[in-house]
Amino acid sequence: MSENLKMQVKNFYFYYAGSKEPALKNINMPIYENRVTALIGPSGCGKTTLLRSFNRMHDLYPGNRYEGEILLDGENILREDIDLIDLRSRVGMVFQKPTPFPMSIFDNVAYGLKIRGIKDKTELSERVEKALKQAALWDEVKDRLNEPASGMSGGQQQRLVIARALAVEPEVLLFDEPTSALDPISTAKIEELVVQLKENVTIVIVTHNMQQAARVSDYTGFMYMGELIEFDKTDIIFTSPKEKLTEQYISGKFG
Amino acid sequence: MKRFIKLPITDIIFALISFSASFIVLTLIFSTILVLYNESSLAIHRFGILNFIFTVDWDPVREVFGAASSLYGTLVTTVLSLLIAIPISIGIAIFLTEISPHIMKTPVGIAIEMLAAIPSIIYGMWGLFTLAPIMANYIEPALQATLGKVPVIGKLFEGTPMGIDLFTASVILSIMITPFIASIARDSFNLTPNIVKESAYALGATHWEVIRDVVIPYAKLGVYGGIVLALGRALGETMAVAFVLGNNHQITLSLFEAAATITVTLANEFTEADTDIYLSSLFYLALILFVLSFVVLAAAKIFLLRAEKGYSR
Amino acid sequence: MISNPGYVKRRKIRGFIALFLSTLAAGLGLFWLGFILFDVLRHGLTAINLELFLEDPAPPGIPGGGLRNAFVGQILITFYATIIGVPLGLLAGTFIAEYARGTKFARVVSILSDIMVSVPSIVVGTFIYAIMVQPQGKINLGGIFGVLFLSIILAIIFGSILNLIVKKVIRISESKAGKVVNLFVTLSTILFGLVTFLILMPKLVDRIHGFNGWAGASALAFIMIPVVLRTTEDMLTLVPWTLREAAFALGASYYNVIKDIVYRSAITGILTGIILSISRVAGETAPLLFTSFNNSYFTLNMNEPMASLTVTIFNYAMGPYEDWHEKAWAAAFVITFFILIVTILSRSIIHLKYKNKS
Repeated sequence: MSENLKMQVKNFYFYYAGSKEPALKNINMPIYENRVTALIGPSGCGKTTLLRSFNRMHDLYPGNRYEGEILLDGENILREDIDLIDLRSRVGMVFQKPTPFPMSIFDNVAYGLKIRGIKDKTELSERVEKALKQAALWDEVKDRLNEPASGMSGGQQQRLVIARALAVEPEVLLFDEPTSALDPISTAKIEELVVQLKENVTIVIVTHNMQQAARVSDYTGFMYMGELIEFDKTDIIFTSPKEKLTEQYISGKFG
Repeated sequence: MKRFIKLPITDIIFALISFSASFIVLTLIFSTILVLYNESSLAIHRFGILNFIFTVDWDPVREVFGAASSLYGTLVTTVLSLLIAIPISIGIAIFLTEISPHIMKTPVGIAIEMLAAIPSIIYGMWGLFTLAPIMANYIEPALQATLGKVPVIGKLFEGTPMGIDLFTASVILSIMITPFIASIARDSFNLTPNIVKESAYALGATHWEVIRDVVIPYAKLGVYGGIVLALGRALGETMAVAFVLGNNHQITLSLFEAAATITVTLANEFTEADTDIYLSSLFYLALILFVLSFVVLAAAKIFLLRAEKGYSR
Repeated sequence: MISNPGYVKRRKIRGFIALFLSTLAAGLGLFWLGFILFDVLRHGLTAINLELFLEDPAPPGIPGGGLRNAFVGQILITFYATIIGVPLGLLAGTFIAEYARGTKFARVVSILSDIMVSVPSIVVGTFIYAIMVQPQGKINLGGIFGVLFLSIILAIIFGSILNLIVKKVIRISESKAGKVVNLFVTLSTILFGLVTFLILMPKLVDRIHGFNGWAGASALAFIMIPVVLRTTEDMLTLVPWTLREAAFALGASYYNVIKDIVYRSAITGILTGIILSISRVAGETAPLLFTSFNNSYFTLNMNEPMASLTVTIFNYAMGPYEDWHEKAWAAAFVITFFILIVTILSRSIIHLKYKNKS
């Protein structure tokens, strides 16, 4: 299968505010279009830090510093003059815990569209319906779109948040341990969803669950102590890793 | 756990003493209502309830008393001061939680709380000597020259600007209640989970959109509680308005006229009441004020309790 | 993808304006604070002098004199309000945070106190007027309650001092002799309370009618009680339950646990709360207007009308004489900065103490 490069991380270093030691050291990795890339590693290894660099979430807190390059369609997103609002509409994100906004189900999904100035009622409902269908939530909520989102179950909320991210049609979708707060059944649904979604978007998922990475991803990067130890096709990482550290981690020797 | 511990005699005594103390506190609020009702019964019998509330006259000479003018003044100053204070306090809370650089948060926060610690009599006195002349000479004429020319709204700004009027009193009240709303709003804003804010940013929302669509709705109940609490304060505030309201029992559309509130009436006339019915009517006013603020404060408490529950979920 | 640079720019400008307005609001808050403090400072400093504290007022319209009567009255009224309000609030707070923890009764008292904190203070004045100032010829319930309460407080103070002395002198705390000593202390405390009540009763109750200092102190105490109660409750709830369990496990009684463990752990918080409540009532005017009223003469007799700084400020500021206005500013200066300094100090103590723990 032919792989198109969507993003590329080049000689990337990241420093948290006030810290001289880089939290991420010399990361180099590709992210292929319409593929699922998983980042695994023990907690504190920097996988979430790396993920949050892809939509420059670190800019919310002053003093954080990037070095190197992260290319999105060949354009360096770490440049000073990059418009973060524009970047974040191209690179969406889903978090560890469901984060419904304090508004109705419909308004949650429509939020990203509304702030972009789409006011047309029919267009809004079409897009909301499409996003909810993509997130496999439409049948469950179509009769109660105007109820507050806080009344849904945790798994539903997480799919709602995915629908909300999908509604603005991002090119890349980042998942930060999306199932860590969910029960096994909801987890299975989200995993299924991730696999389906790669037809439309490029996906990067951080997970502490190796089986999950093996189930959903095409490529896997193993990180340890702020470095990317190994990056390869998922089946290679899990069957014949080149690095000893990777082998130890996936066979459960530490972490 | 504690039920299984046998209570020795010292414990029983101490428990009894402390129970009586808490019981006294409990009875204080009810005895207030009872005593006020008892003292105002004369006026209640003479003037009734609705009749008293809707009677504009307040005439100690003819011994005709009605609460309408005082209630009107209370209402106007309270509403107007809230209208001024709410946007400013929310702005302050937004500044303190979202905009201010870290080192400025504590000092600015303390300064705003200082505003709440200044005794109300100082506000009143400052209002009389400093604010009222500024109002009379600059702000009120300016308002008359601009808004006063607009039809309908213009009626609010008629009359000679003296500085001793509903408008000045409301401005002082608004300064007084601003820190209450601001600090409760700030605490509520701070309770918005970071991760929810981040996910709004991740959708491409601007800083302001995150505040408007996530932080403020999230803190809604707490902010309502703060506003209602401030409403209760404004209703019952005496000294800050007593200096600059003029204690004039009339109902006028213009904000530039002297007026009276329940509290100002009480403060000015209580010691001068020379007949039983006069004093009883004043007690009646106090009873109305007490019931009003009790209801308002209970509502505020309910909002705040529900907000707390909401966040802990 | 929907990307409309013009619209993004509009959103950013709108956001910038909103955030700018918020900053402006904070600036306005600081401006008011600075304006008021500056004015109080400016007028107060020019008017303040030594005579203000040492002399009584000159007759109206004649310059000179001071506000000694008001300073002393303010201190007396606040002092007695503290004596009445703090033990009540403290004990009630202890009861609902310890013995009645988690019960409906505790919840009701706690919520009602929260409401009482914000009850219009002028209404408190009218209530106290009705029970402690007005009753001529009627049964003086307020007076009886006041005297009863005062005797209980005095008896408790007497009892604890006696206890201390006896323990120091006899040095027995164990065994049967200790129990006898305890009984003796308890009995003499009760006796002391009874005698005090009987002595004070005719002296105070008969003479309390018309405006008087006790009424003013009671009105302020009314305002203090819920504040002290809530602070005590909050501070005691902050003490971890495991600490109490550890003491119970050693066989301590609940009373001893409260006295030796709980109070000791929460003492800073409670004391600061008490000081804050004192500074809060020290600035109150409305509840004093028709309880302690005013008095242009110096008096230490709480049964008479008594001057206070705040009521004096009200009368002087509303009065016609320039000299009075100056005195009002001077008094305002003293009271404002007293309250601000106390507030800042106690807040920073709480901040330091509880920041490290959480």
